[in-house]
Amino acid sequence: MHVRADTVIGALLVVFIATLFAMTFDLPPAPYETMGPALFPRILLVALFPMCLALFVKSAVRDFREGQAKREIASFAEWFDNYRNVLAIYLLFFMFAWALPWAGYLASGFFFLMLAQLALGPKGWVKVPQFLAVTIGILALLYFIFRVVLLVLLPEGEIGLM
Amino acid sequence: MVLENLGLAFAAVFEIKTVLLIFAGTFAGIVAGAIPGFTIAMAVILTLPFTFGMTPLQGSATMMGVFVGGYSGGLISGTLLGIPGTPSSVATTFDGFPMARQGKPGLALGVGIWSSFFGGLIGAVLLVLFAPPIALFGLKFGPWEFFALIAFALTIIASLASESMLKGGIAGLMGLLIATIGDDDITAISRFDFGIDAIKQGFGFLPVLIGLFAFAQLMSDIEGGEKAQASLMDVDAESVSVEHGRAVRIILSQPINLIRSACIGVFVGALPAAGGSVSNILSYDQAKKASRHPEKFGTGIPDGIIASEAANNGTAGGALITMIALGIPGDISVAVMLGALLIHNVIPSPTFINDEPVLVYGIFVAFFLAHFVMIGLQAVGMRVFLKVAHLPKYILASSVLFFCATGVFALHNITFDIWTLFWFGALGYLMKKFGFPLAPMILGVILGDLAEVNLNRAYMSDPDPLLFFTRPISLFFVILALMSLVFPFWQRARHQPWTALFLPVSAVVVSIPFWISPGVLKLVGLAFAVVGAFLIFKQLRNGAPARE
Repeated sequence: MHVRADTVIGALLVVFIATLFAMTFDLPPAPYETMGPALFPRILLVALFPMCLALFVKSAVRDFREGQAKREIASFAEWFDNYRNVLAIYLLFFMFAWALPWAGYLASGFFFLMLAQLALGPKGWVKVPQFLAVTIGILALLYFIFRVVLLVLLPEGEIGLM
Repeated sequence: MVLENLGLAFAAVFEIKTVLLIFAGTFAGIVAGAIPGFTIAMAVILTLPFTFGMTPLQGSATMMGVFVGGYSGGLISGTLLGIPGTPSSVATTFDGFPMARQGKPGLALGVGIWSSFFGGLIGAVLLVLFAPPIALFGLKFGPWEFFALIAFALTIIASLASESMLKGGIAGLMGLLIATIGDDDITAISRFDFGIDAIKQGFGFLPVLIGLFAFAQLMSDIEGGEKAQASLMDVDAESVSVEHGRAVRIILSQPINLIRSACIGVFVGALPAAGGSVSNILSYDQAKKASRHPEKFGTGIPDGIIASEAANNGTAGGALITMIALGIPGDISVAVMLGALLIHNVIPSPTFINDEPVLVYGIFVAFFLAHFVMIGLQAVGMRVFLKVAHLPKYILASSVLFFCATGVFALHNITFDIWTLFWFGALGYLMKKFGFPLAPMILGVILGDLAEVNLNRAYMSDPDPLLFFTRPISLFFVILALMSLVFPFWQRARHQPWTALFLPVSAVVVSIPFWISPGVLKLVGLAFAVVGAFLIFKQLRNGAPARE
């Protein structure tokens, strides 16, 4: 039986909501005459629980009804080809955020912009000068606006690259 | 008093720096609106970091420029490519694109641009006229009324989620739940922080918004292997020349279509509902119904373009009425706009107009002025906008993403905000992929604090929950919230006999809050009840036939 994404999401949400609801009992009671920190989240969680349960049940029932009916599922290669750009950008952004405090704004930004264009743009070395020009142009523009005009203290980094 | 405030506001806005900022904002709005997939909300989000160092009036004026530019920019790609730049320009494509394909792209753009201009001006006039009395009415609101109004806004947004109302509801409640993370505003007790210090302060709503909206949208744009190398819009910029004079003559020959469409836009915008994405379709539909030649709609006639564009720019004025007078945003772009104003310490509420008259009227003036700037920029800069939209997606995506990261960092100077952007970017993308609408979640995040604070105030004043149902205005919004929840079921079951009774029964139910109100409002309740009862009687006598 093929399981729909909604069935899995519904089940995960039910567990997640139940966990958060249990966590609200660890919160201190209401001080003074306020309704306390737990009541509003509990109201939301109580409203969310049946909705998530309904999502799970509705989707699971459809899974069960369709049973072994054959459905077209993309191969891993097709799936990867469709999502490789997205995965690459998430990975590069993750590395950018991780490197920012120690490599600094300019260095981490330079690598993010260059690598993002290399990952998404046309392949081959012909476009590299263009990527370089775009990277330097954007970095210079944003540095000027945020550091020079708006006086934002952009991360300088620990290794002195800025 | 109004004229005096307007005079002071004019003097404040017509400083050279503020005017230049409105130019810059409108330019940015048109460019972002012209790029398919870059919505008005995204335009506001992307421009916001530039305004951090400005005064509240300058920042708000810039945002007004973006807002107006974004509404009118969406028609460019819709007309030339048949791909609406923003959801509020969907109906523009119905006639704009066929007209462009008939070899009249300049006329189609001209009609669209000038209809946006006139529609926006009508919206601006109604904004100045209606915002103060609505704010005066808002002064009667206690915490019960505000909480009920927020609940209504969320239910209507969730119920209009085209994919699934259930998923819309879950997204909206999840948005409210995200707003509870971190310190409680009243007790300062941290919630759901999982022991992580950075989360104790809560998530900044701007990184959350940008992540959910801009990051997720950019990721959707670059899906599909080599597609990232294409440009979002591929039009020969040199071949487009806007026909202004002819367009204005055509529009002024249809004053009823223009005024009706702008008024529909203002009305829909003023409701805490779906804003421009609904008003342009509704207005187009009304123009078609009222036309002597409805069969020509969709073939490339100016009537359809006028209806759509006058309505969506009128919507901006309407949406500002509710946002400024009550502090409640309607659609996603206004929600982001509200967030942008909050960053500038501009906190819209019923007392806002009285407390900060120069600032409020300054916003009105900036909104008005932005329409003239928009016309000027569209007249001279059309080719520039088309060239920007011609950039390949891989350059746009990487540079916009880097810009978003810089912008959110600049807000509080902490890298945690960049991580917030990353995680909510991933969440937003997954939500899009699995059919969860983002608008209810974003509205939930923005309104979460307001909802909790008002519920808390209501509780502290009197813990009796029945007050939500015994206070007339609160009950009115509760009833509207329930009706908006039933509305999608009514729409889906249009051929079932019971649906014929929905509107009459709603009229009777809506009469209840008027009945329990003091004074002359009881007569309004009586009118609703009589009309509802008459319609029910008529339907039952006819055997409640199925609706066509």
